[in-house]
Amino acid sequence: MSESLSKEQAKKLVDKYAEDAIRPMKNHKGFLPWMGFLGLVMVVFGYAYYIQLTEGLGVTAMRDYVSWGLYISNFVFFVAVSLVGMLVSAVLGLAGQKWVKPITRVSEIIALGFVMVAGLVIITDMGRPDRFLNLFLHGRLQSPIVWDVTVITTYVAISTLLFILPLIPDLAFIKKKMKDMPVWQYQLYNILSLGWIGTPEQYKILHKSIRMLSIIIIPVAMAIHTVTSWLFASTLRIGWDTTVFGPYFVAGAFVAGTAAVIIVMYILRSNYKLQDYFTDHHFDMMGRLLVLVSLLYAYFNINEFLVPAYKMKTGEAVHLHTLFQGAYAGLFWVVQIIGMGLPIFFMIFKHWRKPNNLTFIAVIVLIGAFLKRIIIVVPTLLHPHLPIQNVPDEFHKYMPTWIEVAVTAGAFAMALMIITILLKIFPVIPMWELAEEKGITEEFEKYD
Amino acid sequence: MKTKTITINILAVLVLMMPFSLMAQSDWKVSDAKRKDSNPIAYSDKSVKAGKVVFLANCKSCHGDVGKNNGLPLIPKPTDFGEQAFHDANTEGSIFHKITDGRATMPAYGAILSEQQRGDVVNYIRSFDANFKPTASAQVVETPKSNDTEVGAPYFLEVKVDEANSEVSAILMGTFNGAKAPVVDAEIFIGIKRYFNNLPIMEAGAITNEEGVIKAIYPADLPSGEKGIGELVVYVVDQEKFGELNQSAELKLIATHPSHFSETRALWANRGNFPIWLLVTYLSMVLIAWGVMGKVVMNLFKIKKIGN
Repeated sequence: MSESLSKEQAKKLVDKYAEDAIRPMKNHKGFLPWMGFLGLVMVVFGYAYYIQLTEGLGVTAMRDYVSWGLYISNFVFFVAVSLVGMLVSAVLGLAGQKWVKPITRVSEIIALGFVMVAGLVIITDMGRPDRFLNLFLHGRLQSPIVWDVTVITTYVAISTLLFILPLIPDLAFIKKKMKDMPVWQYQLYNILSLGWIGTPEQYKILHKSIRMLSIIIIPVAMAIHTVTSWLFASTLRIGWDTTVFGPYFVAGAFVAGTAAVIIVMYILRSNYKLQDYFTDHHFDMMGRLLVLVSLLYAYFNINEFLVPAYKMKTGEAVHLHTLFQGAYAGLFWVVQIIGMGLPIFFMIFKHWRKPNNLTFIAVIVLIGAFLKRIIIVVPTLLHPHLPIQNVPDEFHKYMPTWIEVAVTAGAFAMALMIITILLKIFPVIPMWELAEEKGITEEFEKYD
Repeated sequence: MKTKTITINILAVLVLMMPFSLMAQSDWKVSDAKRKDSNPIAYSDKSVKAGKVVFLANCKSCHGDVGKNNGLPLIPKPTDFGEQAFHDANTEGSIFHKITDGRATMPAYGAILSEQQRGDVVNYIRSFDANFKPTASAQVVETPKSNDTEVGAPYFLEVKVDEANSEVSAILMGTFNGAKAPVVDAEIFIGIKRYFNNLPIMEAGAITNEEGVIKAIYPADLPSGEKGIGELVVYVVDQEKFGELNQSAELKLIATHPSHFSETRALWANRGNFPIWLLVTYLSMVLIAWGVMGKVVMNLFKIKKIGN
């Protein structure tokens, strides 16, 4: 807070940072059962995916009408959550919001975990994944699918860099501090810390590099979800045939991502006694952020539905009827009211931005965000432009099979596994950044 | 939700069972008064021929070819009018009213066909009744029977295309006393080849005339690719009698395919015609992003160098 910290106070503070940062990496209570549980889900996933690979996509509920079901909804959801890395570390960071410092690494880890799995989720939707390479060999550069592949790869690379770069001084520090770690871990830190000795010149280069990445990740992250929305919007189909989809998806991504960060913050805070970093103030600010992005999302929702509802062209009317009063009305209104409207209303009050309450709301918002993706994907496919005669009854509705549910659960388990492992190996508290903020960089670097 | 589905299912089953229940009730009988009605259209060869045309266009799709028992497998099964039992049980009046009013899956043709057409169909159906004796007055107006029954194999199918008038004519000839003679009243399919089936261009129920000729006008502006060439397909429908008789010909259509669209650099064109503006935008964005990352990686090396 002030630069007049005495040497002793500074040393004490660095001591505390080190202790708090290393504690989650060492505390293994509950780690193995948790990973065991995720592993079990992965085994079920493996079995389900094996069946899907050998028997074909016929084992899913996807048919001629609904050819994009749960899998594509998952993909959109995973991409959405991963955008939070850009929102927190780049947008808020560049905007000079100092309070986000302790949260940046959490959000980067979530971003990395979800965007990595997003790339895999899209493969589960392919009946012949062995032909995936054809996309690169024979893909048309005009195709939004190819743009999607490019932009996701780019985002994974930038996110990885943006995750690793701010780790360098901390890893160099931990390398000295953690004496009892296994050899591989030491080697990993040794390689990743790049012989960091903390000279002002190194700091200057590091700051500059992080800033470059923070700037470039904004358009790339906007592009990743805009292109994902174009997969829908460039299709001539009622419900998707709208110009608002790009910003609509990006806004929705911010909602899902912010909620995910709040949940992980809460888990870290309550399990590893990190109240000093994820303080009530942070939850309060994240709550405000969630209100802001939710309002933005609500604005796009109104745009998406009011304009076609005003004109009521025949096709749109059928689609809107399905959503507002028809087969999907229950899900639609639950998502809109409980998943978006009520959270906005409650979070306006400070009481609901307290850690426990806010986490409760974040869980509901995240579930709502997931269901919203299903509402975007499925109902519009139920109204094909060409009426098909003598259609079997099961084509008219869509209910995922256990295989699809298992594969979806597997994708979530995979993302959570990546996040858990990253949290175990790397310090979640950005020590040097906190030290720098306190003006004790020198003490941090000279610490031993 | 679930009960709603079940209710709908039960209703659907009930509706689907209606034909069964109707069949179970009784045979299809019309009232006595209607039974005694006579056919408003007098029996004549001309009427039978007209009736055949109407029959081929409207009835054949379910009832099949008369005498071949190849109707659709519906329940109740559509009657084959070659069965004598049908003719013994039905008067002219009952056939006429059945056509007019319809029942269950059989549409009411009173709303679709004129009285003349319905009467012609009755006469056509009656022509298969072995015991049917047209009234004397009808026999008077009967034209001399054509020689088609006597014309036999080998048969010859010929196709002529009149490009100026977009007209196709198919001529079916048979052999009579060693000489070629036209086959009358034969059903011939004339169509244009498509990917999955042929597009019929003849009038439904059309049959060959006295000269063994059937004509059809084809739409010259069919979507037909860059070269504007379509393939004409002609075959005789009754294979049992005539054997497999096919002909095909090339049709010059108006080249409606806008070839220049696929040749220009457009979004929807093939890979080679990727629009340059998009290529430049796409590549420059990719290059900028990866360029920045490259620069950052170089910076990492700088950091490492300082450390050493």
